[in-house]
Amino acid sequence: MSVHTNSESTKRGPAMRTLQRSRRASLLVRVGLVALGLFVTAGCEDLLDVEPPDLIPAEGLAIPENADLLLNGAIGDFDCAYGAYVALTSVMSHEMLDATLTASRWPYDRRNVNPKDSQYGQSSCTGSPGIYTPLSTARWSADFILENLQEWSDSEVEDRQRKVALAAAYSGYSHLLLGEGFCSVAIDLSAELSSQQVIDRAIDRFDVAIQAAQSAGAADVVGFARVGRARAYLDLGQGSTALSDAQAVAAGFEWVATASGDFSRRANRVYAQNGDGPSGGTAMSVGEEYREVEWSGEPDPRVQVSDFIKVNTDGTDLYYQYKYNSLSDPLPIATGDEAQLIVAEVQGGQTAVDIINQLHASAGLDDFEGGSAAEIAAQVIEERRRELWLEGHRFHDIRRLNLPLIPEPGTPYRKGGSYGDDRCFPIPDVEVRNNPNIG
Amino acid sequence: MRERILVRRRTRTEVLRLGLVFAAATVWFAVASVPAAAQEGSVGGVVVAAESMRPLADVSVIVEGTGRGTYTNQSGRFLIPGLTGAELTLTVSLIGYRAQTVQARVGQLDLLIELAVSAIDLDEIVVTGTPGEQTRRGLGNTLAVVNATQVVDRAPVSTLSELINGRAAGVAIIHTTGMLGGGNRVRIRGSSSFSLSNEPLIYIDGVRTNNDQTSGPTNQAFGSASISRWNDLNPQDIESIEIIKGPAAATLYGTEASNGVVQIITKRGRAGAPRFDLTIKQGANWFADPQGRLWENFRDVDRDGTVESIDIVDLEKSRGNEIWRTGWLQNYDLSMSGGTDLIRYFLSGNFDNSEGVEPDNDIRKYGVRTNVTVTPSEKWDIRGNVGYVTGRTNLAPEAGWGGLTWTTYFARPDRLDTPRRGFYSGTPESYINAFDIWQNLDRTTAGLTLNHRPFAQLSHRLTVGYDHTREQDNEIQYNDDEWVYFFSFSDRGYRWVRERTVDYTTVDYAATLQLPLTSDIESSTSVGGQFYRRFRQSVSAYGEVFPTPGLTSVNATTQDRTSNETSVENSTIGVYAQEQISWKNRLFLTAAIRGDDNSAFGVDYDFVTYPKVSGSWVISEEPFWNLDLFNTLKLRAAYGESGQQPDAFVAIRTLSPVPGPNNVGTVTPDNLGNPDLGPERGTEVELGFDAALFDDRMGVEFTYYSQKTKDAILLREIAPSSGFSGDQWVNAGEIKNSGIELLLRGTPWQTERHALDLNFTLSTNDNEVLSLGDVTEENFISAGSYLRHQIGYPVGSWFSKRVVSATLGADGIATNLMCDDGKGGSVACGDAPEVYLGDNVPSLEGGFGSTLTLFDNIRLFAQFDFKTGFSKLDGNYRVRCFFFSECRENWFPEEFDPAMIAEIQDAGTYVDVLVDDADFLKLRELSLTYTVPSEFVSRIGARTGSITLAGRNLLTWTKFMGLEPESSFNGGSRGGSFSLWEQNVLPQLAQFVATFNVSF
Repeated sequence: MSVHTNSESTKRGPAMRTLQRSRRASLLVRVGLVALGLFVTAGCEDLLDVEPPDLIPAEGLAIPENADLLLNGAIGDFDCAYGAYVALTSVMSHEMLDATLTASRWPYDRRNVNPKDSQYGQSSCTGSPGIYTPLSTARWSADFILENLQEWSDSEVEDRQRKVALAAAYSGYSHLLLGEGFCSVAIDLSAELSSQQVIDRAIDRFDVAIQAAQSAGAADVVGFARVGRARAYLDLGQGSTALSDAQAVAAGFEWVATASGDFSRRANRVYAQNGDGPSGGTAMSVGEEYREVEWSGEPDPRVQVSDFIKVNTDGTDLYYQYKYNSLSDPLPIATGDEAQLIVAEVQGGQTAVDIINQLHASAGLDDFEGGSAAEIAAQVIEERRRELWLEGHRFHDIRRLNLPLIPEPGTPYRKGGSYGDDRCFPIPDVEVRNNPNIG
Repeated sequence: MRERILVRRRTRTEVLRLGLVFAAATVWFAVASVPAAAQEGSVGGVVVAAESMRPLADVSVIVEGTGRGTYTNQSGRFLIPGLTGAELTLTVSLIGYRAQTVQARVGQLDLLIELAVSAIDLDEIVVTGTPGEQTRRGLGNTLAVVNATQVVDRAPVSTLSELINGRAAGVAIIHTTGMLGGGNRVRIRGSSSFSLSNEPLIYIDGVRTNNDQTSGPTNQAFGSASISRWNDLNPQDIESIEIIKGPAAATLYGTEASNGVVQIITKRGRAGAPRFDLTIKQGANWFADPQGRLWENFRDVDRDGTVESIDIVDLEKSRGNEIWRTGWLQNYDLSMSGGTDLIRYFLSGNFDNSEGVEPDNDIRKYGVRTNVTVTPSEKWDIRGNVGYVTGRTNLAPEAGWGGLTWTTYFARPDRLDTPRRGFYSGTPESYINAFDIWQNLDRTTAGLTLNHRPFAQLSHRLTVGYDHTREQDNEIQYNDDEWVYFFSFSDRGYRWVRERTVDYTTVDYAATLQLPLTSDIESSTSVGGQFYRRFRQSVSAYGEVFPTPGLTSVNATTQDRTSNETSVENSTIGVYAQEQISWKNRLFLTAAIRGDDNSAFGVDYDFVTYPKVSGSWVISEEPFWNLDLFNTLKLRAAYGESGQQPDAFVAIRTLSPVPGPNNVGTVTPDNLGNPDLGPERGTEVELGFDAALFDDRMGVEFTYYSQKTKDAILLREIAPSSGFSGDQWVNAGEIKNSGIELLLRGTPWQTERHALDLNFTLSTNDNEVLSLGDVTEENFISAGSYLRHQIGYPVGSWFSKRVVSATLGADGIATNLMCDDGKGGSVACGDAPEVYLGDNVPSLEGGFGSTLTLFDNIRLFAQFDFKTGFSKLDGNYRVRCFFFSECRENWFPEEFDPAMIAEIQDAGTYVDVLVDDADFLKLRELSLTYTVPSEFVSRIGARTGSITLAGRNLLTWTKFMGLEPESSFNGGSRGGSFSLWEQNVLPQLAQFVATFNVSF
């Protein structure tokens, strides 16, 4: 990693010394009380110098030389937050089940989240992950480098327009997930914003991204941002606006969050929680609605699940998902298939049937024969459930489409208590308590 | 297992080496200390109590100007050989008696010295931070003194906190777990900081030392830990402990001292023949009455409406299994002291090998100490101290980690017919065999003090010290097929190891000039400068999955390896000047100022100054004094300031390096920083008196204190939408602590062979948040789960909504919830405010001790202590009822108050049902000592000998509904500075110890 600062004298170690030292020169003058004192000599100042070997002072870091460093930082923040979002919302939507013995994650499984709960609100994106703080950090990192890139010139930053597009697109996705996953949020210590308001902001970022990417000739980034904007418009119920973006995305397009088994922060979070292998977790199991997904009597390969493994320590029946098979498997963020499903949902009818059948053909499944408009619409949603399984869509689909909650609210929960009816995460108390513009 | 064997082998080698060093040093000092001229004269006699003529043992008899001296034996006799000249002056002293100086002739062997009881000894020399001799009479503040030698002699104490507990008014020991090696928290005069440490500083013989109370493997989870560095000290090596309680007294100690200072004075040798002390302790500890204290757990096993229960302790007993064992305690201590006029020494060695009640909890610890005083001339003396402790503490998992307590406390009937046998998670043997958690320790504390008195009026002192702690923390789960069933997490094993070093450096110079200004007025001017450095470094490695059984190192893991290195450094430079004016040695006025700079202050914050002023007046020595009731009365008053700062780097906005896409190096937001951050500032007014009454039979020390922490540092949560996470340190608040402290001691009954000594301590604490910066009275700052800092309430108080009424339906579900509206009425719970439920700091606490001596050689000692006016959260009840649905309340709600059921069924919004008064009274210590008569011990060549049978934590009186009123998490998010949260930890253990002591 190469870190630049805006002057030689403020590189990491010396910078800290300078920060700590700058106001000490007056010590001896101002403490005129002591006649004797073995250490009160001119050299004493150095005794107060300390260095943090594992931290980088922020001062002076925002310079063009660090554009790649900061942009990669923003992408890394998003990738980690995205993995956490996919994993945690998979429990809320019952794509997966919690299978832990301790109770800290049961409220997500039970769909009755308390705003005081610190895990979803404050935990990082690693381990048993949180989502509000990681997504907020990812949003800030992307906006921070975006603002700087927009101020710097093309001569200072190589490929600046592409970088602007990337920063804006990642900011857009951070906003989008905050809007989809939470009932309300705040951005940059703002007043409480509704999901719609946050998604509006996401669209603004995607606009910037598409414009910059087109200017840079970066077709891949254009596709990444178009899928995001189409998704955002769909969330807002503006299907016809979503359509043009979705239709413009190539069928085989894919943009992923890369993963690695080398670092916990970079691991595929779903596999870390549930995976058949020595490094796969057993902290989650596959949701009951996903264990034997078939089409025309044949297993649907898009929802590959193991046979029953064992009764886990908490009493949950353990099944493994096979969508992700290692800690290094990437997580799709935006795909041509998703874009096609948006088209199918918006247009319905034969267009939807054709799209469904294209997806079936790819999966080696028999065709969908179609039906009434309602049946086709329902099948599109079912296709989304299968095709986009464990990609962070189902939780918001349940909210957006007002799908029935299974099990029903009030049903006794297998580990204690009963199921609630949460369809989005409440804004965490940690934001409400500490944001001067809320409350 | 292979790792453990290797560690033990290495430990034995180290011990052997230590033993050889100790033996060589012993021989050298013994040879060096043999009096050079055996033909020279001696002085001897007997020391008795003035009123009863009872012989007094362990009286210090010192020949003035020589450093030579000895202690009286059990018959009160002493003999100091090897003296020259014709006349000499003896100083004879014993705590609780007025010290005497006696003129004697060399060769005189029949001295009869009578010591009068002194309830208050104003001429006792105390440690104040300035060089030269400072007596109590000149102190404007109170000073708690624990006579460690006496306590160790009477009570079953094995740690520093046990030594202090209940014996110093205003000093609260907050217990955590009953696990052996577990640390406690210490609070002096309440909680004075929101977010910084509330722990006092520790000095050992003038050297600032590591005072971490939460180190070690995080075997408690929730970020908490268990091992306290306070436990490294061997109580047998301590002469006395002096506790400076607040800013009024701690000004000269400067930044970091606002929570008080604990001065530990270790034993030193006296000139004379070598004296050997051997102490052997054998004992046991146990989980008292688990059947009676644990609970039945319920479940509808077949989901058919038939509720079954389980009492796992009884069940296991019927199966022939004991979940908790009786742990064997053994401790061996040998010391030697003596010396010549030139060189005096104290050497000791200690071996502690004790077991906890959990089969994988034990301590094996070795310690040595060498204290040497060299007096080359009357103008110089040089004191060197080296203490070394090494060993291993094996911990059992508990709290959020799991373990025997977890699997037992939350046992379930629906797991009876499984390999779990009814235990909640793993069986006891699975935890014991699948995991090892331990800490290896090496700690060296060394100090060198040069005292120089170039002329009678000037004395100055240089102390240089270093305290080095090396901890190696370890966790391992073995890859073992036998236990895979029980542990889903990383069922093929994992390994975590961390090397952590903590270094404290002390350089302390000070000088005092004492000048008589007139025949009645004397001036004492002191100046000094200190440099303190604290450096913590931690390197850790972690990995999961051993490919085959038998592998145990991180290198052998194949998945999810991580490593980490962190270091934190903090330095302080401070200077002070103090002027004390005394009038006729009975009226003293003192003023001082200290200035500090610290590497943690923000860039926009400069150095800080702390003033102090105090006065004391021994009014009973005034000619006009005619109140016969008071033999001694000293009035005192003090005002002072001191401070505390956070660790370095927290003031600076930082990013931290992390791996990014395709594993390239990137950065991510880390610490928000605060350039205006400065130290918080404690100010204190203290008023009081020390008195001796009823012919010196009763001593009273009374103190009123009023303390404020200004610019209190708050670790304030950051709204995540800002882009940064975690917390920000800000100077934003004011905290008040006030109260009284009372110490009574006396000897109401005394005859020639019998005596009754009593002591009583009592302290109150009124703690209140006065300000939270820009946070209004209606708002608050979170202090943790269900804890708030709120203006008008104690720091870190419990708050939640409280259900006052509900309706229980036929389906057992509580509805129509009405909550406390905070105004004496009720309101629908959805609109209800969170209300105050209690706080964590006792408002009243104290201790009562009595020693009954019969026939000179039988001593019965009892010590009670109590705490009232605080609340604790019963996390065991929370887990059982809120989450695991194992309580009777979950299955038979109709038997309980619907309001209570409503809180349980909500499982999180309301914790009134969990927070309970935790007042208690404990019979903490009870002992019976038999002192073997001299005629018997002399047959084996011994000087004194005694046998003590003692018990600890034998009886508790409390209304607390949980398992134990004292146990709680130690540190972490639910057990930080304020929280008293008990969840899945062992209660305080009962203990029996037999002590055999013999001196040669």
